[in-house]
Amino acid sequence: MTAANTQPRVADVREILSEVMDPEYGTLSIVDLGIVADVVIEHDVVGVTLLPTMAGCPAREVIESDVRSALAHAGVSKVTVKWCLDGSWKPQRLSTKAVAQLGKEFSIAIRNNGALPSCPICNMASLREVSPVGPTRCRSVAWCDECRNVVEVVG
Amino acid sequence: MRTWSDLDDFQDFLDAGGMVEADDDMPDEYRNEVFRFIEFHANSELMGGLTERDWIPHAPGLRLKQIFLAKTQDEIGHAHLLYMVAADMGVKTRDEMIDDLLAGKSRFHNVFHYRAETWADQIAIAFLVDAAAFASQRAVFAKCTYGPYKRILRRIVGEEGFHMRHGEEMLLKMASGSQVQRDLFQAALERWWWPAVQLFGPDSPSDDPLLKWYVKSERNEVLRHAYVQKYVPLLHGYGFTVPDDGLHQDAETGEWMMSEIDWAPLKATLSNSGPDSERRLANAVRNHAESAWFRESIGVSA
Repeated sequence: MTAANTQPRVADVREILSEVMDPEYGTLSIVDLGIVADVVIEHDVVGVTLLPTMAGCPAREVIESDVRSALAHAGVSKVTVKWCLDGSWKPQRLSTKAVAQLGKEFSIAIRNNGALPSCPICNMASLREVSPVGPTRCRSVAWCDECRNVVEVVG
Repeated sequence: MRTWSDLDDFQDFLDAGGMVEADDDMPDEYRNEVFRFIEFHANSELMGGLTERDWIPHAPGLRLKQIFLAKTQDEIGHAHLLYMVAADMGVKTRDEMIDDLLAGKSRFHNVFHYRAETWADQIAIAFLVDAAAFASQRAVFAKCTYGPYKRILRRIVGEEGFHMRHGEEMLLKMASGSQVQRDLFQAALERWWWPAVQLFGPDSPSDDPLLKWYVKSERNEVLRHAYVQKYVPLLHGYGFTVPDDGLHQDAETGEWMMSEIDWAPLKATLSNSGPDSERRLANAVRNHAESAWFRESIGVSA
């Protein structure tokens, strides 16, 4: 995308959004985290629907502003951003890359159909839930009895 | 579990980039220093979180209330994770750490020994103090040879970095606001500049064990100097005056040089006799007592 008046395509917009990083986890994009629910283009207006991991997510404004500036930077000026607040974000929306990176880089595990997953650090089935919430309300806190590390669990 | 024959052997392991894990038979000297460092960090997160909480009702508007709620949750949550890792080191239990903190026997960051007078103070804290804490935590994360601590620091550093964006946004609002707002922030800056600079601590001693064991990656004075280079031009850019009469740019290097720092205020905070230490600790004690019913209902102690 170079010229400002070129008609953008959905694939271009998705490409741009895949460069918008989560404000807390700067190495994961909002596309990888499953926060981008939909992209439509109607009469040269780009409509982006975002799906927060939870409705009360405090990062919503920052994410929206990053989406707008990334698109503006790429020459896409007519943009509407909507938030879908029906609570439909699920850990299954995470990309394979995101799941791997959350485990490896951030020691964050993804709940397995309601059950505690194996420890992302030592891979043993040794997690024990300690509290239903931690630094953020979208993750619980667990302790690994095997490698003695704190793990946070999504979902 | 790994063992080392002596401190030299252990040092060789660390020099080669080794990472210590919870079940390693680490030297007691290392265990005690790392424990003290994590306990200090945990105490600081808890005391910081209680301050953020105090300002939720005063935050102007629903959005800022939401931000302060989330920040409070972050800080208390960080304390929770840090106390878990610290307690596992077997030096003190979690209850002992909380008891010592509330009894005024432990230390926490100097900046939580001062009173936030106005909403502008909260902005100065978010903009200046959070940034200083972030720089110092990031420098610990960069090496940090104690694995369980490094892993939670990865998340803590990410979350604190996000807080700084809120600080910048709130400052921009004040800086582009009315003269009353600008004056309020200038007054807050005068209260918080020196505590923020002192958060990095006095110059690191040449034999600092935390540096030797790569818990910290950088000397205090280097971090402090880098912070001053970044924040002086930012504050000037917004049209504020840094409260340091001796502040000047070095003629050759162009670097910002500060007046000599008076370390007496920092020392006072380290013995819990700072300007607001007593009220802060009393507040924490009351909070702990008032939330006892909740801990009992979920079957935990501290």
